[in-house]
Amino acid sequence: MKKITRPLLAFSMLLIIGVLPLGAQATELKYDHRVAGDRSLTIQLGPLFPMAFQSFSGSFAPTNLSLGGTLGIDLDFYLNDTVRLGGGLRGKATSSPNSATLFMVPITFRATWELKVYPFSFPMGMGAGFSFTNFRTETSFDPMLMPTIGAYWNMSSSWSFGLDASQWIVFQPFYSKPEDGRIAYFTDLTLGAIYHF
Amino acid sequence: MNLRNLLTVFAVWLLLASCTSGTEGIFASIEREQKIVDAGNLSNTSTITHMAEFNGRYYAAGGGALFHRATGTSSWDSTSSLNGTGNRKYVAVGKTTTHLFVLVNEGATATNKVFSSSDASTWTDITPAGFIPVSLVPIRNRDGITSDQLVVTASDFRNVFLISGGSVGSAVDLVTGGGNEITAAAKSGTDYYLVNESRIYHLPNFGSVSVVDTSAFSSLGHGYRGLIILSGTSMDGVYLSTNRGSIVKGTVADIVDNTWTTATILEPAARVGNDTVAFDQFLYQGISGSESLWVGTTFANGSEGYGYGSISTGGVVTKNPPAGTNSNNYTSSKLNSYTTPLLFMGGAAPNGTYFLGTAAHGLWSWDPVNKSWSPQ
Repeated sequence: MKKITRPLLAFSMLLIIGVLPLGAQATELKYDHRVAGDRSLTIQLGPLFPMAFQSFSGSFAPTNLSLGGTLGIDLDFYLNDTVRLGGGLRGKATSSPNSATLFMVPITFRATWELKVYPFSFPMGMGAGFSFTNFRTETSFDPMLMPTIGAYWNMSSSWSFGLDASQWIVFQPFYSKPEDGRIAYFTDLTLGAIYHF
Repeated sequence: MNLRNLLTVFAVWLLLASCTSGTEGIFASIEREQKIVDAGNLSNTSTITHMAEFNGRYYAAGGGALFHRATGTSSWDSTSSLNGTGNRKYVAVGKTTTHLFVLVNEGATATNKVFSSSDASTWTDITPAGFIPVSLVPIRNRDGITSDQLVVTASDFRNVFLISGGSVGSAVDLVTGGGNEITAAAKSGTDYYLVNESRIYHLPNFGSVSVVDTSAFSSLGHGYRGLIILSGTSMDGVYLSTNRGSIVKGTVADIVDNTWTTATILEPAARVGNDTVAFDQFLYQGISGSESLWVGTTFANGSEGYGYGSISTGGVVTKNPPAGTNSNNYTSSKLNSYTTPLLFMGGAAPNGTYFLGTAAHGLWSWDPVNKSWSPQ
């Protein structure tokens, strides 16, 4: 139980950090680029924390991986002024004990709901998709989930800046050797810039 | 969408999306990975095919240099010239009770020569007149570890020379050369046995050839590589390895007259079709509780390696990982994908220092407590 709570606790703390306001804004903006039919382009950059591996039988183990980094880009379409749908592409790299690099490139489809508290917005979303995973000579194609929560300061009708925290949940069953199947948990904390157009 | 439909979609998504190459799960292999600690200063890209222990130092032939270090230290030095003249390629190193020998390739003339030294400092060219040596191989004693004599093969693949003490003997004509150098040699009493790719030679007193075997294991496709004759162990017998995936186990009586009536063929259980492990040289590992016969691998089917294998006292062959090896260390080190032409033990048996020489991945030493390997 202790092993389960540790990654969840760390993730929760990151979420708390993520909703801290970055600053205040004195002037009310016209949110003319956040209505149905508008789009948003998000660029994210930040550290990625390997949290745990879990076997499909339930046991947790340390990942053996170092602190990594991630870079991402999302393109979303507003269905109305608080809900948007879209997709994202990420890339991350982290190292094993013998300095071999684990590369992951997730492609996810995402639904995001925004809580708006002028002049801030707090997007909360759920992504689902696939990750291309490469380590040494091995490559896999894994399903994954990516819940995200963030806090943004809307500087203008076109630009928002803030933080996101995402939990990567990557499922990697290994059918020819079931005991090698794992669910991997990574948490990223990224600085983000959103361009609304 | 009700819960059942949602779970169905999730299951289909999991099934269709998951696709992994390789023999183990990526995350699982990372979880099991162990830090490989470099135990010495030797290059981890060197190829080490021959070693010798002489006058309290280890010597390793590593291409452009002869590496050496005191047995009680971890810091390697290197020698690139003999008597201070000319750079050479060090093809092999071996020793007798009184001298150290190296087979070198002279850079200027691209000609091989054999040098000997009683102090590893002053070297004498002892190349047999009229011959070009192409291999220098230790003649293994029946403990499966030590050697105090060497055999040199000439470039005609017919003439061989016995090295004892500080001198090289007269040429012995094998008559049928087979087109390959001698790769392994063992002796039992005064009977010497030499192996090349397609033949096993029996030379009583290293005089003339009494028996040449070319057919006993022709069904295996020949490809002989290693030979060892064990006595005084719990796995006594004659072991012959092939680069076609098989190990032949027989008795001394089998090899004396090459009848091989009691011989059995040992193969890894997982061998399937062309999954052929190119076995190479043997080393008896007699550490209490983990007694086994190790067998290295040579190149075959391109440049891919096969690590090394282990033969138990019951004759079971295992590889990747060999039985008695820390599997996490073994796979983390990637030894399972290296070619291992050298197995060597220095110090006093059975608890001496064990080495594993690889092709292009350096020299590794064995930790018998953790059953793990570290690069030198």
